[in-house]
Amino acid sequence: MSPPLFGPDILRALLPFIVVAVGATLTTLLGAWRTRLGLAAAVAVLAVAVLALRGAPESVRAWEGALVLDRFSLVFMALLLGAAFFTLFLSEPVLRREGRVRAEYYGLLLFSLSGMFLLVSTTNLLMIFLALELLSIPLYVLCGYAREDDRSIEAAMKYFVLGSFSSAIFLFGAALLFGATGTIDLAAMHGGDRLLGAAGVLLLLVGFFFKAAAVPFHMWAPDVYDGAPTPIASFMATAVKIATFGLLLRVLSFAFAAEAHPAAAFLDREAAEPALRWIAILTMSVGNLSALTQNNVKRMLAYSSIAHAGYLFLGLIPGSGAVDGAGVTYYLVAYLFMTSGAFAVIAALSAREGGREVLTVDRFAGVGYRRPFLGLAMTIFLVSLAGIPPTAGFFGKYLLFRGAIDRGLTGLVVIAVLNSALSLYYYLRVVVFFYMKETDRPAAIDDALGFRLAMIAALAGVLWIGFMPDLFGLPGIPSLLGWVQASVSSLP
Amino acid sequence: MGGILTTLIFLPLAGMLLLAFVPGSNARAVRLVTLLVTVVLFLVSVPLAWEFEGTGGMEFEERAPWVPAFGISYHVGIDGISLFLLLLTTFLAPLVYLSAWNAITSRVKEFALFYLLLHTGMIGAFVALDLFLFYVFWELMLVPMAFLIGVWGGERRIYAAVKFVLYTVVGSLLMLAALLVLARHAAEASGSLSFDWADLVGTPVPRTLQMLLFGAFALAFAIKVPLFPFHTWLPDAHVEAPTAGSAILAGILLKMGTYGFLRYAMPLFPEAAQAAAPLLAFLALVGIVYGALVAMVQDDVKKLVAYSSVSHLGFVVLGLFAFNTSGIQGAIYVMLAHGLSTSALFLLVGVMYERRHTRLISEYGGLARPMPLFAAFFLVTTLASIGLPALCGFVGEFLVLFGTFRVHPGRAAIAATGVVLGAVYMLWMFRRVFFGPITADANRNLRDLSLREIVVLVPLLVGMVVLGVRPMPLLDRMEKAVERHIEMMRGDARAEAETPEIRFVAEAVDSMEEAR
Amino acid sequence: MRAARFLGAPVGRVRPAAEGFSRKRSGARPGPLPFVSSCGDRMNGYAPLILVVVLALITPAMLLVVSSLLGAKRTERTKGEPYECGIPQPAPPRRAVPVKYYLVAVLFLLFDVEAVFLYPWAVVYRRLGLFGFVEMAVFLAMLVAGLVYVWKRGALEWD
Repeated sequence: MSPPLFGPDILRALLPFIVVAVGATLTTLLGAWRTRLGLAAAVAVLAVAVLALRGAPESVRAWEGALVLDRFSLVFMALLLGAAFFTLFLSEPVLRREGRVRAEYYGLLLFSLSGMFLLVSTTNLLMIFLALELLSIPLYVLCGYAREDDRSIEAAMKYFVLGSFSSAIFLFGAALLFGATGTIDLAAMHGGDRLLGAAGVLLLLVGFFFKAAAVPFHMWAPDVYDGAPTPIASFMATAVKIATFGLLLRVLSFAFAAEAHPAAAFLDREAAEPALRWIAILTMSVGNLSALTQNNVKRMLAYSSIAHAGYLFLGLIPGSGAVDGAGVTYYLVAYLFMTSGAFAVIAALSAREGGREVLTVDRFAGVGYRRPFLGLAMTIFLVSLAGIPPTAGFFGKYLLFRGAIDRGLTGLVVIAVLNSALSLYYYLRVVVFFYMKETDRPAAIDDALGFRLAMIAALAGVLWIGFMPDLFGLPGIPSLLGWVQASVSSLP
Repeated sequence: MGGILTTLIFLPLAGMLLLAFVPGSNARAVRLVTLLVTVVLFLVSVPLAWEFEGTGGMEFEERAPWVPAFGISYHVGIDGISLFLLLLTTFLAPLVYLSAWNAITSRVKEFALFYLLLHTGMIGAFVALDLFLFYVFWELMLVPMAFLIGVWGGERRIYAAVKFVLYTVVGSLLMLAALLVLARHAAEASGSLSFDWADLVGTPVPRTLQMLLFGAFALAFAIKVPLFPFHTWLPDAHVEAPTAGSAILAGILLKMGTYGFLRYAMPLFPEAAQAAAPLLAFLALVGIVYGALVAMVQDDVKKLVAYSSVSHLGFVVLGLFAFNTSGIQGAIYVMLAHGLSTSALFLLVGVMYERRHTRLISEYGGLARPMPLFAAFFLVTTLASIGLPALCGFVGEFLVLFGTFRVHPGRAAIAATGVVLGAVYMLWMFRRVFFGPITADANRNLRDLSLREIVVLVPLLVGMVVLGVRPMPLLDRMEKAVERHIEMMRGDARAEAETPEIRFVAEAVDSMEEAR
Repeated sequence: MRAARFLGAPVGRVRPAAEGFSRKRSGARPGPLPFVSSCGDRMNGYAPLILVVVLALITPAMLLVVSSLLGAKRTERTKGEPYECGIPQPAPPRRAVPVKYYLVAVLFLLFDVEAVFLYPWAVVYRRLGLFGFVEMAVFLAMLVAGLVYVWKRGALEWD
């Protein structure tokens, strides 16, 4: 008895995607008539999407895993919506400052968001490919949105070329897996031909790792983050990471599921674990070591986001247990707030001089005194990124590290801990310039409302989680940890 | 309204909130408010001294769930060990702030904010009984101290601040990892995750694991102490920090390391502590002698005092790893005495610096003539620092040597040379600064101590004398707690009553006083 | 049902025809897939394929190497020109083409692909029923929205 092809439940499950996708189309269309209304339209679309998400059913699985709506996807969609809201806050002031307000920008952003929504709610390889493309193509355009800036164009080109390669690699992997197992639904895969399957998985993961900017597939990230407009860099650092890790979590939890699950045969633990370990170690170490030498704060944040991906990989290694979905998700919540906040500060400081953004750290000297709130906020975001209590980043790391230690990965945790100590150096450097140095060419500071709102929201999140790591007190999320744990309960 | 301890922790935070409403341009108002907050802080803590019973267990305990899902609770309390360190902290708070009244002229409000935040961290770290809570407060101290050094410090302040942070963080993050491993180990035994000190202390840990975990904890604390090879951040931090920062750093922050050894590293991992004792005692001895020798050749007064700290804290570590009552009581006593005398020394050096803007010994000479009062204060503090009987330094050093001698005479002998060397470098420095002809004309008409400076220094001096002549009330209150700790550290309960000796020492001191 | 099929129902296994391969398959459930492993006799099934690939690589490589070793090398100006036919080149070969042509090409591709998609849909239209109709309507609506946008923004104007 096959499940129904369509029904009210499926429709309700589809509603968030429909809302965002149709909203994206309409917002783009707005560009032809009233292009200044883009922000209003995007906010309206996201608001409706929130409603749609609240009304969505909690367990729908349709069309051979092409649509899988469970607690997990709902939680990740909520996180993605949060990231999108942060990006909207940052976008309007930056666009206005540079005279580029256009509704198409918001339309593209929403298209990308709809791709991410899809990405976290499917187990079907074809659908994953579609979602990846839907996520990436608007981003290629958005990276080059600052058309007069060579570096923006370069970012777009680089991201496009390498992104297409990674998509192709993913697609090739998907084809091999299909050849090996005869199905494109990850949840239904049984062991098939070993060689084909192994090659398929390998290529598949390479595609994902590229999107997650894991070492050695991270080369594009600093250039792209640096060149892209700051709100877009923020979007890539938060939303794309969240979506990719959502997908990785889902895929790997199938792959590493207990032997009873048919999908267990899909990946060999003995071979995959060491590989993942090395990727985790390399990603965090290369990210941190490269960040050490950066003078450009945006590049520094790009490398730091690579390093954070490395910490997140800790949660993806099963060790003696299973994939630590709760730890990864919790970290992503903390990461969303602190990274969005840091990018909001950068956006406020990234006025263009002669067509180029000036983001070298020495220009930020004394900012902490010129704008006390901004300085305080940045200090707290950076302290949180470094994982010093009492901030969200600390508890995120705490949970990830504790989970890893529980699974017997103490060595990895020690490396991660040393990496955190390393990271403090370059985060501190920004604070040192903010408060302890002086310059005769101070950076211009943009006091737009959007930046301030984003900073306040991010600061509230970072400190609230820092002081009340469990009690969240939001309607529907009484306990953050409980929320996160419930979300991963729907994974195998 | 919670208990006294909670009030103490959150009072500085409330003060910060209050300060937020004071305009930063009105420096005088900011200073007054901050002083008021710190005075209130001290006054609130005073009743602890009387109401404390000295049962050996935790008193004034408060417990509240913080993050039950993570096994973290808000659990605070004090015993005879932390009581005095806590009182020292609150005692120094208003005095040190008052000393910086005129020295800090830029960004007065920010200074006050960081100063108060630092106190929340220090008080919290001393009273926390949940390891996780301790860790949070421990890290909380880091940021404000880094700012105090980095913003208001000397020429190489940024280098010093960054060095301070990195040294501390490397140690403390490893401690965090060890903490997580320990908690997991305990959770496997008891079935529920808990970071509570009392729960963890009772958990037996296999020997190899103990060694690893003790290593991580010991590294974090050794850096903070600082023990010999990890001490290099200290001279930089001390020299570059503003006077108030140095005083707090020497007075309180360094004690955090030795307190950590006593409260956490040793009782949690008794076997490992026993096994590592020779190594740590050796490092402590190296620190004592090396610190003293290096101090001797310094031409900068502040650096000299900084290296003397390395030497003094060597005594503390040595006393701790004697594993007997006199050794540990002596160690705590040295911590207190050092807290008073060294922070007073830093303040006095600050007085000199404010007048002449140099700390080079060669720039001074004959200072006793224009500044007789200052010289007198300096002399008493110097004598206290080198451990003259009837002043605070003596009791602690004596007990440490005594305790060490009982288990290891050789160590005591080497340490005793540190006492001698201490007298040499301190007195030599004193002679060069205060006696002889006045070589620099600028020194001829220096102002003597102002009323504010006297107000700051008198309580410290009184403290040094009281600690020197009336050690018994303090030692009595410590005794039970120390014995309990020793029991925890010695699985075989070899703890014998060592009170007679202590009585003997204390009575000797008392009679000496009477004879005078 | 058909739509479900399309998205990845069992479409029949794609297997190499080699003997040993399918024999192995019919046995017990195979173990986990390694990233890289020695696949033993299974490799036999791929041996001809690998041979072809190797030959395909070697042959042109050999031709290139041999001709570069044995061939005469004369470099003249005329030889460097794109068309070595004796007639002087009238203009630089890489001339800028108006961007509008690209636009036309893109639009053509877009609507062409749409048409390609419509054919198979039309073939199975009856079996898909209302569901298929709605789906195609949505698809076309999207395209129309795109067309309207492009039109309105003036991308279809030649001048």
